[in-house]
Amino acid sequence: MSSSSPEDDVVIGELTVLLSRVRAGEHEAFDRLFSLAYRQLHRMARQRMLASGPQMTLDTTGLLHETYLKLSGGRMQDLRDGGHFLAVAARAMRQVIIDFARRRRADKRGGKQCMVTLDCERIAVADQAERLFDLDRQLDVLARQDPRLVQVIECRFFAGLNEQETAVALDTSVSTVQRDWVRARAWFAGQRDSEQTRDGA
Amino acid sequence: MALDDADWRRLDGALSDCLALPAGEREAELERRLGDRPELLAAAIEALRADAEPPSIGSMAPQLLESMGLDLDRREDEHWRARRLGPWEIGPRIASGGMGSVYHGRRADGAFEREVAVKLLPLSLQDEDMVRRFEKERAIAARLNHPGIARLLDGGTAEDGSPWLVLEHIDGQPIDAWSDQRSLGIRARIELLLQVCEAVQFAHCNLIVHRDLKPANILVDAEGRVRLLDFGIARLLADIDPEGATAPLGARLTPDYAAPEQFTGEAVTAATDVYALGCLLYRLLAGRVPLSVSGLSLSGMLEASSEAERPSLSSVACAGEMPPGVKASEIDADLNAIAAFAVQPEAGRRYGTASDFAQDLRRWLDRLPVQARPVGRWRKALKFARRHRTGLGATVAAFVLLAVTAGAALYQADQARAQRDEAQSVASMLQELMRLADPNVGLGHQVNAHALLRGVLERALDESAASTPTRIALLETVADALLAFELADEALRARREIHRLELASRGPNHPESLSAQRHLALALRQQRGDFEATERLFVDVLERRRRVLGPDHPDTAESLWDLGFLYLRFSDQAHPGRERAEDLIAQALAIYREQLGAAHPLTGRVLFDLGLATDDADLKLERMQRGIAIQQASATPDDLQLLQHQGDLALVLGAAGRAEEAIAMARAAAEGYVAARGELHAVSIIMNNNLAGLLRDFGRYEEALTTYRRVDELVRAVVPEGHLRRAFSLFGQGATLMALDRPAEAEAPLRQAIAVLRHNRRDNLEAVTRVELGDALKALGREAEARAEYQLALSLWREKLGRAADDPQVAAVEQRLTAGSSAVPAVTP
Repeated sequence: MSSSSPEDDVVIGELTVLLSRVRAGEHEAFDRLFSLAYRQLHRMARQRMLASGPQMTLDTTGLLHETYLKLSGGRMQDLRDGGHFLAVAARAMRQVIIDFARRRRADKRGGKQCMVTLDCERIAVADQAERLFDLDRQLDVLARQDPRLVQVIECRFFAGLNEQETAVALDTSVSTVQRDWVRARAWFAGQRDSEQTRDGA
Repeated sequence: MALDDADWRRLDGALSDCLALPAGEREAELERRLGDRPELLAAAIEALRADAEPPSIGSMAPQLLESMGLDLDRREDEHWRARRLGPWEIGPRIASGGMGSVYHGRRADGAFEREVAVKLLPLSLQDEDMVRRFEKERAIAARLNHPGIARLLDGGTAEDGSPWLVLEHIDGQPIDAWSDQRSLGIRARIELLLQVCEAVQFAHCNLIVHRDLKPANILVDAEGRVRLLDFGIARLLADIDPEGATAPLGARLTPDYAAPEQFTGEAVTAATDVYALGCLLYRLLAGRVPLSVSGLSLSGMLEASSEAERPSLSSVACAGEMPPGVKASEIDADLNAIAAFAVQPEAGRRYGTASDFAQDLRRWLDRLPVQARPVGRWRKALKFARRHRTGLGATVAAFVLLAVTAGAALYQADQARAQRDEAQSVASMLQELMRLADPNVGLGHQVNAHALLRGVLERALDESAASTPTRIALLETVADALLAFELADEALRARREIHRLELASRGPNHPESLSAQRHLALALRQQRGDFEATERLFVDVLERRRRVLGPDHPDTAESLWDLGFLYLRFSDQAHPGRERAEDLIAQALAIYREQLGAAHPLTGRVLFDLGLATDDADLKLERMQRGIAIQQASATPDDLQLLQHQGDLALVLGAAGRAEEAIAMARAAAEGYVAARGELHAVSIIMNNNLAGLLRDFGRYEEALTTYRRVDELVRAVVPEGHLRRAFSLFGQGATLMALDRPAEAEAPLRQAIAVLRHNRRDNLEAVTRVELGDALKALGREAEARAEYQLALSLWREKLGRAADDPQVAAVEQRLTAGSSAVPAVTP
């Protein structure tokens, strides 16, 4: 069992309460749950990195499931609650990944050296970090027009959930998930084209 | 710089509408709607033409992720490529799964020709918790040694600490495709399904639920043998573990084969697998599962899945295309009833076990009435047969006797379990119990089944907890489970309470009250409590049944049998009842013959017990053998009762000096039991122990030693330290080593046996073992120590057991003490 610092401890049963409050649409509950999930994901990802050095790998879906286990203390929850948790944790996963990319960019620009990073010489990394930042920014824009599509992208792209799991997380059907994915692609394509049009004009 | 709201609404509206159209008409519709805005049209068409599988973070930013280590499979493949794990060489990847990646493998030294499947824990998951879970899978696989389950061949830990498993690689085809491709007829399809049931039942007997049975996990090989794969998400019924919590996350179930309780997160039990087996019956015979929920939202699945009834097998068959080789007209009312019984949405209303389901399918094949659709008379007979308890083993030697009696308790628990109409196995009930238990107890740890059962008993004893019928039902199940886990005192408490409740609500002469009283007596007998009290209870039931039901009623015969058996097996040598045992059982036999017929299996059982009660050696053997023959005529090969009777007969044959027959029969019975219940089942262990005893009795010491050692390993795996059963295998090893003239090796097991026997206050057996140890020490030249053991044995016999000086065992030890180094007679236990 890995140890956890006191501020990360979830009071027994708190997860269930938080989830039902998230379901009822309470923002505070969402924030609390998000920060719990974020800290847990971040810590586990770091542990993996420290443990495996340059060979480090991260399986995002596995991390999500484990985070759930840790926070729930291994207790069975309603399937619906599990789903809601996945949706929140997918958002947290997006944040974790963006933060990794941010630190990577800082390394590249001569920022603080990460003690386990042996790959500062890898050239293309910064470019890719830029692409992730772009994506992150665009998702913020999309969130204003259609927040649901953002959730689908968080689940599928950042958390690596499959269609079935995404449907569970967002409490919708697989066919809706498929349709939303096509719609999200259209939005990105439209976005890119309109930017190009503007650039060209 | 951005797609503005109005444009997005237009683009999205056109796209959403056209997604409702058939694929071929979509682009034309988009052109009609967005023709004036080429950039929006282009975006929509690009989105439509997207690949089937959307990119994940891995494909969008590969190099970044590589540096972050997110591209899992490739890293892993590189890590393992051409590596060796023990003697195994790793080949290409076969599959990735939540709990591990699977690679082709082969033995590097060619010692094992066949290809294998190597399962590895993904690098990303290698932390303590996951390693522990993976180890558990290994433990599960190790328990599942059955021809219908892909076998665990090897396992270990790589130099970097990651655990691996080598499993049999099955070259086969999913069961549905296999059946359809060969246009199998309805009977052949059911035969295949029976093979699946057998393997599933085997897992259940080992307290393991598969939880993801579906055609993809059930392969049929070229010879037509069925193999179950992927116990990766299986769950041990006997523990609470965080692993259980991954199921509700939706990733690890197959919606079309998942039982309603898997969607709601309720307890998963043996009945959960029965539901999947029922779906498989639909798929094989009607071409489709009863209820397809894939593609629905979670709420939709929950709702559809918990709805009252599934469509009948016939209606599913008629609604679509039939699988080749099967005709809808072959599906009759009985088969419909079997299918419907298996896929009941409420777990408690399904077949309780895979073998109940299989039994009905077999009956259907044999054109017999089925349990799912009972016919009056037959149902009565069935109920009666199931209610019946078993006889016990024969007296040969003290050790063997004790072992057999302990095993019978377990067997009786099995029988009692089968008795209820809504029979639920101990295993599945245990899971229910887990749910009732305080979840905090189980936080991340294995929960001791004993503690849990005791907790549930307390709950069931609490009068405010539930209504009387519910409490009775709960108490009965707990009582069986307690007995199966050898908690005789607690089982007795449960039985007392049931009896009290039945008396209060139905009065003393109601058949249910009498049945409760009988079970109370059985529990008391098992606990070896007050003999007179037990006798009084049995006699009282007998008298009341005679009065209420009549002197020739089968229940009255049952009571005669109970009483006879009590005198035969549980009374002191000098008890006056002992002489009546044969007569009582003979009376019971006469009634059974009259009421049920001479060929009825119950008649065969009573005849067998009558043989046990018979003094004349020839008549004894003849009665036992005839009793077995009658049972054999109607039994399936894995009839547990019959196997146990054969094990008992082997002991009697052994006592009669018929070595070869005895050993062969003991071996066959033990093997049969192991095949049906697994090597770890208590009765399997006892049967193997008895086999070892026979081997030793007839001088086959090397074989005996090997068997004892194996038994000892198994016993250690299942009973707590200090459990009496360990003494048998330890003593057996010690005595066999002495017979082989290896006293130095005999000392340790004998000393361990003595510790166990002292702990259990078995004075006579302790004394016998001390004499054996004394002989070993003497042979090693440790004269003083040897004399001390002899003295201890003597004082046990004289002071605690009041043996006289002319007692042959006492005399034999006295002789050892006085004879010095001369030859001494053996002391037999």
